[in-house]
Parts: sequence; C-alpha cells; structure tokens
Amino acid sequence: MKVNAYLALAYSFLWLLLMLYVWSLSRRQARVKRELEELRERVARDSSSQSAAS
Amino acid sequence: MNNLRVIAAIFVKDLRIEWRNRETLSAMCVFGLLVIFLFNFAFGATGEQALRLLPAVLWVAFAFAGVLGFNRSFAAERENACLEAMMLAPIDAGAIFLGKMLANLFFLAMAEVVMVFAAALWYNFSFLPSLHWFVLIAFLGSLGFVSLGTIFGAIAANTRMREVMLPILLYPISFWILMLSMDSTSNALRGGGGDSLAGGIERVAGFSLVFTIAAYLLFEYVLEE
Amino acid sequence: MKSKFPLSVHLALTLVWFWVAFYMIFLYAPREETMGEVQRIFYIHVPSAWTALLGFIIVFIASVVHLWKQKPLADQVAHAAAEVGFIFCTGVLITGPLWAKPVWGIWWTWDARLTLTFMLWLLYIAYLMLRGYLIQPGRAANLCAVVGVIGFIDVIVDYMAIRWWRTQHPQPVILGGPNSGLDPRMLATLLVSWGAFLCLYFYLVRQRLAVAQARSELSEIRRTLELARTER
Repeated sequence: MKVNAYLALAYSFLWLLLMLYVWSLSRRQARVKRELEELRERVARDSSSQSAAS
Repeated sequence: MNNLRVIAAIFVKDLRIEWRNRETLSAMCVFGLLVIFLFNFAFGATGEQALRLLPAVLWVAFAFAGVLGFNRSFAAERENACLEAMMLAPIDAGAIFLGKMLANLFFLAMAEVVMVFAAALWYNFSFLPSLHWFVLIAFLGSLGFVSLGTIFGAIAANTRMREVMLPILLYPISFWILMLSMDSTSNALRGGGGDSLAGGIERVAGFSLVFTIAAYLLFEYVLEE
Repeated sequence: MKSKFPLSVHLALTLVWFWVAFYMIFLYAPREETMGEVQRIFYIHVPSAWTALLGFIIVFIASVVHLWKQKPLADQVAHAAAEVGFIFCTGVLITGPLWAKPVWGIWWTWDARLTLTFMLWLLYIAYLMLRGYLIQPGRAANLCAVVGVIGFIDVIVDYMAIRWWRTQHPQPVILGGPNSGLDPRMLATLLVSWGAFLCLYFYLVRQRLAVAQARSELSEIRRTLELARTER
C-alpha cells in the first residue's frame, strides 16, 4: 500500500465513525420527538373524549 | 466493636451456607483444575518452560475460578431477598462489604490451595523453596482481586446478564493486580529475592489496598435502594 | 435548552474551527522529514486520545458529584461524556495502527501508550455495557457512579503500572513518537486541532444530554398521566 493511502484511510475512518455516531444520535432524537408527539395526541384525545362524556 | 460482630456474623453465615451445599467451592475448584489441566496438556511444560508458564497459568486459573465464586456470592443474596433484609438492619454498609469480602477471600484461598497442588503435580514443580513468598503474593493479589470482585458482584447482581457483566467489569479493572501478581510470582518461583521481588510485592500490596479501600468506602452506594 | 450558548452556534463554531484546523493540518504544518505525509495522522490521532482521556475525567467528576449531591443531571452528564468519549477512544484505536504500520512497520505493539488507550477503551465498554444491562433504572445512577469512580482510580493505576512494567520488560525498539523537539508550526497545528476536537466533543455531549433529558421528561409525563388515570 502506498504510504499516503494510510493517511486517507485514517481520516476517512475517523470521519465515518463520527458520522455513524451523529446518525445514531439523530435517530434517537427523532424517536423521542415522535413519542412526545404521540403522547400529546393521546392527551388531546383523552381530554376531548372526557369533556364529551361529561 | 459492633461492626466486628457484624463482619464475623456475615462471614460465618456465608461459610455455613457453603458448608451445607458445597456448591460454590466445588465449582471453583473443578473449574480451576480444568483450566490448569487444559494449559498443561496443550503446552506440556517441564523444567525451565514450566517456570515461564506456571505463574501465568495459575493467575488465569485464580481469576476464572474467582469470578464463579463472586457471581454466586450475591446471586444467592438476591434470590432470597437477604440483601434487602440486611439493608433494613441498622448496620454499616462497610461491615457488610468486609464480611462478604472475607468470605469470598476464604473460598478463593481454599480453591487456590487445590489448584496449586494440582499445578505442582502436573508441572512436576516444587513450590516449597519459595513457598513463603508465594503465599504472601497470592494473599495480597487475591485481596485486591476479591475486593473488586465483591463490589462488582454486588453491582452485576442488578443486571440482566450478571454472569456476563461481572467479568466484563472485573477483568479490565483488576488487570494490573493480576499482571503484577503474576510477575512477582514468577520472580519468587525463580528463587529471586531482594529488591526486585520486594518492589513487586510492594506494588501488588499498594494496588490491592487502594482498591480495597475504594470498594469499602463506595459499597454503601451499591446497597442503597 | 436554557443555555446562553445555543446548540446551533456551537455547531457553527465547531465546523469553522475544523475548517481552520484542516487548513493548518494540510497546508500550514510542514512536511515531516522522515515520516512524510503520513505523519499528518498525528493531528487527529493525538487530539482524539487527549479528548478520550478527558472524557473519562469528566465521567469521574460527574460520578463524584452524583454520589455527593444525588442530582440526576450529574448522572446524565456522566453517561453522555462516557458515550462520546468511547467514540473518540475508538477513533484513537483506528487511527493509531494506520499510523504505526507505515512508520514502525507493525500494526500493534504493547507499548505504554497503546496499552493505556486499550485499557481505557475496555473501561468505557464496561461502563457503557453496565448502563445497558441494569434492570431497575432508579438504581442505575448510583451503581454506574461507583463504577465511574473505581474506573478512574484504575486509569491512574494504569499510568503508574505501565511505567514499572515497561522498565522490567524491554519493548521492541520504537521511537517515543515525534513529541520530542516538535516544530512550533506543528505544535500550533496540534493545539488548534485539539481545540476543534474539544469543541466537537462538547457539542456531541450536549446533543446526547438533550436526548437524555427529553427521555426523562417523557417518562415523567407518562408517570403523571398514569397517576391521573388511576385516580379517575
């Protein structure tokens, strides 16, 4: 392998690793956001059905 | 004074339980013997080679056998909710730690005696010329290893896969205790003495003491509900 | 987050800083005489290592604060610092062999720094796996904090032990690295690059912290909803 290939490999592996982590973080954030959305909808539904019943 | 009675009570309790079923100790001994047998058969060492392999094989066997014992030590307490009862009692967490630790140390020491006999037999090696040094190193190294094993055993008992979690926690952190004990053992078995042996033993003692004190002080947070 | 330093500004700062760092790494820093271009791995390898070590120091401090004050925030900080620190530590272990192979001719040796980094990596793994496997979330914080403190003691022990070990066991003939007599331009590049890595580290920690806080808020809301339902 040419010596500069190691340089390119090192930089690209590190970049890849960081990108993978950023991706996993953003996925987790999206999931929390979605769950919060669902919860909000459920609360809205619950309160509306309750007011209709009473 | 009260603390000493608590330590003794927990120590005796663990010994009595073990005396009734003899499960943990027999498992530790058999497992340790198997490790030594496997290494001995695979490398088939005698003479000078035995001297090179023996310390490593012994400490690896001690480490493997120890993990079996530490896993059982707190698993039993959890199954019967004994830990909760002990936490309700007005006793010091450090005393509970010392009681459990001394019991574990006792079991590991018993298993170590069996393993050393087997190793002496299979490697055709006499421990007698440097036995006093060897016993000292084994005690000091085991002390630190058992202290870490006791506190991590208590932590791992709270996890889903405690049999897996304990070695993952224990081996990286007790790495240097095991390595330096192995090194000093090698030094002692070679008949070396003087400064290098004394220095090695001092380091093992220092590390063991540091980890034992840390585990003693932190144990309260492991028990806290 | 109720911070005076918004995440978007932090991200922009990180990107600009990295842009400057890359400029310095590839255009400003001189070419190393013996190692050639491959020496430029140094500017990402060493900052990653320093950052990974700093990560565990933060885990230790946050663990102590948690044991002392019992604040959930400290526990969340410890978790975030450990997770991001683990990523940087993995980065060190990837870039290290890629630098060692062309320069030393071998991928790996149990030299002092390599051993230390590997031990640190194992510690991070143990800490994070424990986080994943704990059954009762209520007890997780204290147990992890205990491991964080003992783990940091182990880092110090590693530093002391490796020196003794090394003096006893001669290593393969390897230079101590290019740290001796560093060109001032190289040093400046290294420091700027480390700054960029630190900026990125804290940005990622803050993002990770935001996830943890959103999660704990979510479970809080769930709990109050359940309570309201059972009372009805």
